[in-house]
Amino acid sequence: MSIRHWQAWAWRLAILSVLWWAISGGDPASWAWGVPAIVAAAVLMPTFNWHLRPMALLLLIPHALWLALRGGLEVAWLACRPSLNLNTRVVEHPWHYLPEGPAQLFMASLINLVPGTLALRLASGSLQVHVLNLHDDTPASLVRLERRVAALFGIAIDKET
Amino acid sequence: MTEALHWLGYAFVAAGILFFLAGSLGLLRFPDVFTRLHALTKADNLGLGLICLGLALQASGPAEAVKYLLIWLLMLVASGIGATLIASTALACGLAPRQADRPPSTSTSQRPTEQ
Repeated sequence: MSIRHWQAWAWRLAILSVLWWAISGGDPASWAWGVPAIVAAAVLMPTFNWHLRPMALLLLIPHALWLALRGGLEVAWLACRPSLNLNTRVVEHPWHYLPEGPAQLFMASLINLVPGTLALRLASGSLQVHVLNLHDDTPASLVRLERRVAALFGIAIDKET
Repeated sequence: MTEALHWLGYAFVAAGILFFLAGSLGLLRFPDVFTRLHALTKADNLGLGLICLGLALQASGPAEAVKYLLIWLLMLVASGIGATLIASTALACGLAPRQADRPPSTSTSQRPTEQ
């Protein structure tokens, strides 16, 4: 039983308790059912063998919200303007930093938040991205996002490009 | 104070409804399944986020507010993964994304004019 193991358990129980508190509306009587449910969920939950950096996660959340806001604004504008002239492309985003596995999957779902991009297919060496309206800086912003995800998963970044 | 929060909540909900309208317009106007997914994942997620935020501001207690935000978070995860699954399935079924390789006949330049 390492410290890390106990830490993971503490996190799990804390997050599940907050969830129960929110779902039950903070009713004190509900904890009679809540505590067994929380413990059962914590035991049955699949274990993850990867760890997120808490600081990087805190930094990523406002950035992801900002991206969601810009993405929504851009699509809303494109849908509402009179001329439907889209510069739609499919681009290949080669993986610079992330290894195969959960980090790539996380990035692929996050890409759907970046203004105007949609993850099409996860290939071994690259990610196919559907771009609604291609700008000059779209590929660069994908690389920037990948760097952030690498920081989140604690992956070392070589300094090339 | 509570009064002000209530009105701020209404403003957020109204803004969210506008994004839902824009997303639905995109769903109708965009040319193929991939571009339509953009409309659904981006505009509607933002619209739902604003509505949930507006309702959270009007909530009777912190637990209820957290519940609204939780709804949005689960929606974000579900629609992000769902959009990619639909897109890759469409691709595997042989639907090719429509691309702007040559400019459409109505336009004179390929570059988007606004930045």
